Amino acid sequence: MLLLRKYLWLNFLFFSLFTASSIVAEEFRLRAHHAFWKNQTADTEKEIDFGRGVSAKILGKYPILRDERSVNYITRIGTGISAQLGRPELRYYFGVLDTEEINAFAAPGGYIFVTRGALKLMHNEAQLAGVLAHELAHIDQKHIVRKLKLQSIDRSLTSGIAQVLGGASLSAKIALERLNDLAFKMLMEEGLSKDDEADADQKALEMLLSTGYDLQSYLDYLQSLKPFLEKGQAKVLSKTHPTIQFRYNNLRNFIIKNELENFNGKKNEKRFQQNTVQL
Amino acid sequence: MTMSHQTRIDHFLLNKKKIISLFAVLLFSASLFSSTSIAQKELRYIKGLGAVLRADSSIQSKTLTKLIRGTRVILLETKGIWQKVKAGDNQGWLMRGLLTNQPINLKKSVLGQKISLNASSGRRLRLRTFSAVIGVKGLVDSKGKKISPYQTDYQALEWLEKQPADEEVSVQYLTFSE
Repeated sequence: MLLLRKYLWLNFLFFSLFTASSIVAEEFRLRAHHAFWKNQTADTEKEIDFGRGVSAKILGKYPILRDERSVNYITRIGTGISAQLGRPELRYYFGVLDTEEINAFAAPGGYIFVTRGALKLMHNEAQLAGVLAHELAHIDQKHIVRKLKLQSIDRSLTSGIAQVLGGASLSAKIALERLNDLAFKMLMEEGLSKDDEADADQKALEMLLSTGYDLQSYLDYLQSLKPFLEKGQAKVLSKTHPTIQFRYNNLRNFIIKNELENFNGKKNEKRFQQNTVQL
Repeated sequence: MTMSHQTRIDHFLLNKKKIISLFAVLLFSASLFSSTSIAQKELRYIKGLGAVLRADSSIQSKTLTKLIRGTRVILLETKGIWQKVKAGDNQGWLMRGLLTNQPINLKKSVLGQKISLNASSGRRLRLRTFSAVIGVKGLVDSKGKKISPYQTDYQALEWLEKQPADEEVSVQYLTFSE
């Protein structure tokens, strides 16, 4: 006891030392945080720039449908989902491609497209929400950016984008153009990995749950694609995605595993028909 | 003169106690340090405009409250697609995908910058400069190879970017059920 009292000053010294060091650590953490966000801002801007380039190519292949009624409707559904579950630093755009082909695309940075052919195949709002949520998940998880391996030495995915695409020189512009082409080819020809697609499908179901939409409708939509896969109408989709059976089973397993069979979500069939009847 | 056996033992014990008390202080401070870093690890923020906190880890479970964007929560447990969190006095379950580990106020500033970029003519100007450079080069690189075989349509993209999208209106629109 005497000893403790004798060395009390020492205890105080150590205590104050450690308090001081933890304050310094906190300060350091905050600074690192700001540095991270400064990087993140640059990365987000680059990702948007990159995504714009890819989107411009998508719109170079398929004309955009300038039908404000259906576009505003789809934008509301998509924005409603992304406001809850997307990346808060992004603004998402939802466009309709004027083609009979059946497909949907997501370019990095928040650009999502669904074809008129796909919309005509859908019966209700839950199916539309499911397709948009699937594409949102690709952007959320940065699947394209990851597959293009836009990462820096420290393996952080995003800070790589700014480094790779940040230069102002002509060679940097050419590099950006090449990367845009690679991303475009990935969307039109090669597709993402089977795992990424399975992941996006599951995340889509989670988003449907969170927003109260019927889950089975999305599975039904996938099934309804089947007859079009052999015909030319969904050629790109079948080339770039795993088989419908694989995707369907993946989602059925997810529903059973999480005990979601009895979930009764909304379908909003009438509202969907009213807003897409003109297509 | 040599120390008696007893004094030597006393000295040794004194030193030992000194060392032990030093270690005790060290350990105490270290534990303080590590506990704060654990707390930082489990701290999360609500990223959506309104996240439903439920009493149990089931979609049929009753709603406790709605947490607004940016609310700080402590992540307690993860079970399948459900995450147990503590938000102020409330404790309940959220669906996966509603949380982020970055504070939202900082993300909002990013959003603000993005909008200002879109609003100003600077962005488009830069884009035009970019297309001009490619145009002058005739879409070929130094070896005379075509840079991109694909067509682009930036006008269509700009039309799309002008379409309105209000987050709150959209979230409200989504709550409708026939």
